[in-house]
Amino acid sequence: MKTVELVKVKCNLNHKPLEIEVEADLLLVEMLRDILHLTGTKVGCGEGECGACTVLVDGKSINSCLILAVCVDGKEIVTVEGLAEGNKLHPLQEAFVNFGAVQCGFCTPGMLLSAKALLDENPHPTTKEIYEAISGNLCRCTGYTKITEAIKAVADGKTDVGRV
Amino acid sequence: MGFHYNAPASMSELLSGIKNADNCYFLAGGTDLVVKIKEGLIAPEFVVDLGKIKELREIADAGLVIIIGATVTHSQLQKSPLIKKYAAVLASAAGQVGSPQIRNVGTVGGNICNASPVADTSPALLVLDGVVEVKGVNGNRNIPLKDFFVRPAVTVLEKGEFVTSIYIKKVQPGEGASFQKIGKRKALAISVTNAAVWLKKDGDKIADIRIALGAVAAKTIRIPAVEDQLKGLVFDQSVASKAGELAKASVKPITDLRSTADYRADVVDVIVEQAMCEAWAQAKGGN
Repeated sequence: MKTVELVKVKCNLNHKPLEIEVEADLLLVEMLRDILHLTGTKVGCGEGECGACTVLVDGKSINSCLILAVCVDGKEIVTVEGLAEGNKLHPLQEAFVNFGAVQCGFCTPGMLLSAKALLDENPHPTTKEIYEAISGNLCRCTGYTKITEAIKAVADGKTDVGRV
Repeated sequence: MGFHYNAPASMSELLSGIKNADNCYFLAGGTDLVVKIKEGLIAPEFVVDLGKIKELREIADAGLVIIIGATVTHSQLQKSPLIKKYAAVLASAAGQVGSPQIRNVGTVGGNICNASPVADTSPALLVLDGVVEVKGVNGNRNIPLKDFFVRPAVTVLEKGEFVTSIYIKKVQPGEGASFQKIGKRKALAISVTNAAVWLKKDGDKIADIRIALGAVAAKTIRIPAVEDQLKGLVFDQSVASKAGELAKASVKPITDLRSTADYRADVVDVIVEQAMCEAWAQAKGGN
């Protein structure tokens, strides 16, 4: 039988330092969900098509189903659980609520993080830039109109308006 | 499952620790490698992560050429002012790979080593006369990219060898280059067929030209016989159209789950013509 090799990973997860030993072949999403029980990050296709597993690594959106947990050593990770501050929702979360940009919710964590990566880099995106930013996130319920409107509202500083 | 993982912090550490083993894989971004491991297509004994080696992540201006480190991501290529200025064709191709999430992780070195005939960066790198710098246990060598690919997932790299960087030629004034791709849709689409054209103008004539095609053979190819027929011609729309027809006649694509052979051949005709026209317009603009 093969011995299981554990590798030490030191990173920053949702603004707090984390030290953990993981198996070398463990995926980042498996570490988040199965070991740390941060189940906001979803697994959809498992091959980088659907974006449900999107998290931020050093501020950039990535598919956590496509990278090994050992590869985030020394990096800063943000999952959907790291967006709100206590009971105060992140403006993007608030806008998603106000615009009804959530139906089944499965794509929502990934959508929020792709949107955050966009607005952190480009606070005033065009609609086309919003489309591009969420092009790696599939939604099969609400469609993309309300999601795009919600992101645009945050960019315009109007989170309190909406459809709902 | 399970492998020995090592993430050397420097090039010297990497070179001293290379495993000359059959079952040693180098991990760049991992967007292809990790899926292959998880699907059981490969079962590495050793995985060497190149992600911590800073010099492999850099894009450098070296006069007439640009040196692109192997673990430079597609996002870096897409956004780099240096690439946008001197190799816009590559920025464009890199920007059409997968999704933002994939582009943030997937690397140019990984893209060529995965040797998919459909890879979007390959045609652009080929028409920029890319040269692959390789290191390994038996020393260093430089391989022209046109001699690098063998067939899907196979390159000329030998055991214990890895790519450190890719050299491309800058597009100079009087030259132009274009990448064109047809996929099923705009985002997250693997190319049905893709193509890149680089050309140099001399007055009204095509002084020199390079054409690369993807997804029409077992590897991304140049079509030198077609290039030779176009050199010296006075450029106009009919020459661009002829280039498309010659390119179409020179390939024998296959039918697979993404498209049919006939459709691929028709697409080659159209996108080569489009790429020719765009490259010419750019070459004119630069004069």
